[in-house]
Amino acid sequence: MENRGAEILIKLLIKNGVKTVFGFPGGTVIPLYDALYDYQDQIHHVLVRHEQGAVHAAEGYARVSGKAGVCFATSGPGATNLVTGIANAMMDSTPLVCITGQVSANLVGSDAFQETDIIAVTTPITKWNYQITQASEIPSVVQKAFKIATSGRPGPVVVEITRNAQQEFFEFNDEEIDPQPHAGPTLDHSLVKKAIQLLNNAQKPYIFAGHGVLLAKASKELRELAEKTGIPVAVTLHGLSSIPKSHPLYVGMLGMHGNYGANLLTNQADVILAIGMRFDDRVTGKLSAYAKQAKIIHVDIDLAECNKNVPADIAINGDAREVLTTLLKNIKPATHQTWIDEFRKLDKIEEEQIIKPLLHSKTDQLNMAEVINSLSEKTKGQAVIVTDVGQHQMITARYYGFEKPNTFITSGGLGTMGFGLPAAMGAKTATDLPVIAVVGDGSFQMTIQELATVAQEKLPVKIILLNNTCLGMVRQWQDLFFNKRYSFVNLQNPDFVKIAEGFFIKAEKVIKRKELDGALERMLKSKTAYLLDIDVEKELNVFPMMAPGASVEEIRLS
Amino acid sequence: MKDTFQITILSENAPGVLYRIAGILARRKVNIEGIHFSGTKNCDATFTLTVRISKELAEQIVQHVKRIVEVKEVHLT
Repeated sequence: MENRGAEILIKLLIKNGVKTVFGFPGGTVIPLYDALYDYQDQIHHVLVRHEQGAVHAAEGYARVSGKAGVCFATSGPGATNLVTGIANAMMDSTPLVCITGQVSANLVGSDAFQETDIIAVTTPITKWNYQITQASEIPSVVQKAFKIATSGRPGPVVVEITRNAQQEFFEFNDEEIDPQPHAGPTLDHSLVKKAIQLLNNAQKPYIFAGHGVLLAKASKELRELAEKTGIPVAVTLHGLSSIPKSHPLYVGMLGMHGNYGANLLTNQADVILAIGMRFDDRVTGKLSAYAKQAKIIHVDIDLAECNKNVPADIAINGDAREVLTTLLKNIKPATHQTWIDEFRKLDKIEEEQIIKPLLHSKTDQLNMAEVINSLSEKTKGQAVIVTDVGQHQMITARYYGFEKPNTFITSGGLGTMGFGLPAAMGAKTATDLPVIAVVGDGSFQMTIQELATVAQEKLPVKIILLNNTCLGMVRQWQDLFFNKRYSFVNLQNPDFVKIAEGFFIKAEKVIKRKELDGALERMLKSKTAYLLDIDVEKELNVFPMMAPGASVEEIRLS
Repeated sequence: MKDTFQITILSENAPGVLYRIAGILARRKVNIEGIHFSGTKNCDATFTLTVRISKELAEQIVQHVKRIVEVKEVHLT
């Protein structure tokens, strides 16, 4: 039967298992929204207040559910407002299908009203994009979009559809469409054998677990491999929660603000098994002084990452779960308690010099670490934590005790301020677990308008605002490296409680230490959205820190 | 140390493919010193690009060009 292009698109979304979309209407997508109107019982559309909110919400949704997040935007400024989120999804390998309108095909290239060449703009920041100019293209392009977004290394795809294509009629038989998963790379078993040999003979083996472990849903296999071989496991920022922090073989987070022992002992390991991580510069520091003594086994689904920053002795192109399962079958059981003890010795130093003073602070003001620690205890490390970007992000990564896999959602590769609130919104639509957004006063104000969406959708998102009245991370760098020349980092903030209440969201201010406990309890118990605006110490820097240009061995405790 | 390389790419013959390939080079400020194209309407396209870069960069570019959805094969000589 003949349908309008817009309706075919909606039907295809439903066929691909899409139940929620985030979007904002406009001129060139009115036909799409008109078709959507008849399918409200099958697809739930979340109306945001800025398209950036839509794309970050789609990211939050995708990160929690493992499915492609879908967002709609109109042409021109609507589409350009998605760009930050698309770039963010590209850097963090988040599957997205972004559907944007475009002026009619015959007007493209004429600088028509709200026309922007979004295909050109997003080419470097998408896995694929395509401009649909005829309704007949819709079925194959939409299928291809979902396949590309979700297969191999996930990422964002932009599908632009001209107004005429949305309105054209086309004979569409939806039985012909059969979503098929993309076949992954073929695992080279000879390389896995070599890796097993190296690991069997290692004296100081070390496992690095990154985002790829979570994307492959391989937490169980990671834990089993570690337990069979007694190999300590460190995680990257995006690898957090792939192994419970309470696990005896967990030795910490790698990277610029990671744990002391985990970073230092990188340069003592003899064999490193890196799974689903890309040796990002935040993790490696100075490459010329990074793990030169170790044999590196680099497992990644994207072969382009192997030998990009760090030379791999064995580069295994494969899915983390498949590789971990294969390693598990044939690797020798072992223990490495003496090696683990070396980590614990360094952990004690970090505990005494950094962690204890923060968690048992007697200063007038609360500090960020105390708040996160209390939150962690009250939620037993089982909530979904979404952060924004800055000092609060690093503190949350360090002090929240993640116990469940895939419960830490953050903007890592791009470090997008404003990510937190909308991503938490999107995450909440995909899970029944409590979702808590931890944001800073700078970041929060970038997408604060989405409080309206939270209220309209009645999403019980909890927001912890760690308020130090400044742009903390930049202030820290100016303090440490720019002679305390605090250039434009002080914020005169509004009354956030009044603002939240203006959006009809419950809110409380926390100023004194003794107020924290009760406020956290009330926030967690609330069945509706809740904001806690917590005053925290301004002049506190996040340590440990690997200064820019420093090596992992030069990680500072103060 | 820079050398002259030929990057030969076999891909779908469709609008935008050359744009994507050129984008990968432009991002790294690599100048295209020579370009040869052959392909007919319904057949695959073959691009041969001549560039002067280091071997490490050439190998990285090959990996990134391989990620383009429309690209089928990439060879470096």
